[in-house]
Amino acid sequence: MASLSHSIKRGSAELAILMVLKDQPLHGYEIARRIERDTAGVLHFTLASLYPLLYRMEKRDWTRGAWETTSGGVKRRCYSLTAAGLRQLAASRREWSVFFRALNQLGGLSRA
Amino acid sequence: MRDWSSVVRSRLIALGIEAEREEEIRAELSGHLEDAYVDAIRRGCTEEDAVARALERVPDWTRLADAIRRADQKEGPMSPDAKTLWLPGMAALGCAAAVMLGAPRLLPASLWLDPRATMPMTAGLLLSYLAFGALGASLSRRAGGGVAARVVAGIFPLALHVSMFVTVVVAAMFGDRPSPEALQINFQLRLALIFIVIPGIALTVGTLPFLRDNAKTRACA
Repeated sequence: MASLSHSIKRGSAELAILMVLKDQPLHGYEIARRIERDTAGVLHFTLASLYPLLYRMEKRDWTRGAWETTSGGVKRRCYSLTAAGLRQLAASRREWSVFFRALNQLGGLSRA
Repeated sequence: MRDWSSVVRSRLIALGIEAEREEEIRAELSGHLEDAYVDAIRRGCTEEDAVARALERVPDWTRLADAIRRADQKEGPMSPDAKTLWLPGMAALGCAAAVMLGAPRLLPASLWLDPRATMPMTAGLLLSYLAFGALGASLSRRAGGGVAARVVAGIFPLALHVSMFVTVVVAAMFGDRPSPEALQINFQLRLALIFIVIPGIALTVGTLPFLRDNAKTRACA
């Protein structure tokens, strides 16, 4: 799969995190692992790209982090979506869908 | 099992943030590396490879520290309230103050005394207040403000009017030469109508077109 440019990855990373947190609270490594797995490695996080984003999202009140003990018995900081995060997810989905529709209208992504 | 806490402690430079928060971040990063390491071992990597794979997650520790410091310390130069309420409100208030201070200086004195000019000048002032209300509300909407923030930002110039009203009434009642008229409720109501109610209505009407979300605001909310 062709690699995406840095700016597109960065822009979509927030949406990806919101999407994986929609179903259940997850800790940082699990968030990164699921996104990498579900995007076949196209979206790949280093600690420098993941945690600053998580902390910003928490500051914006989109997510809430809390220390929890995982099934493996270790303490991890788990993030869950807040009501504001759910609203942001819906808004981001609309925004990206408008964006891709616009690109499609412009030249046809399928022909690219 | 590798001690990932000590790895993070030795490689990640001081973040320069609150000690308790820094400790929490270090613990979180250690946990992430430990999970990556355990995952790699589970997939059949050797100990050495697993460590290398975990450390691949941090290509540059200095960059990581910088990014975390920036993210943790501030979201931006302004808080959301400042962007959606105070700044748009102050912009509207600044424009209103400029008109209130500038109009008497810029317009010829004879115009203020001419009764025929009263209506056009009043209309002009009210139109300018519509524009100030619209300015406050539109700036607030652009910054992602909710309906309440947009209304408050739009009618923010009323703060100036209320303070002027209070000053005028108090000065007229308790100044060096108290005016008996100022003690009458009719005078105060008339003054409130001129200073607060009418400008307030103009400002509120100005905000109305910006209380609905446009497509861009909805997408970015």
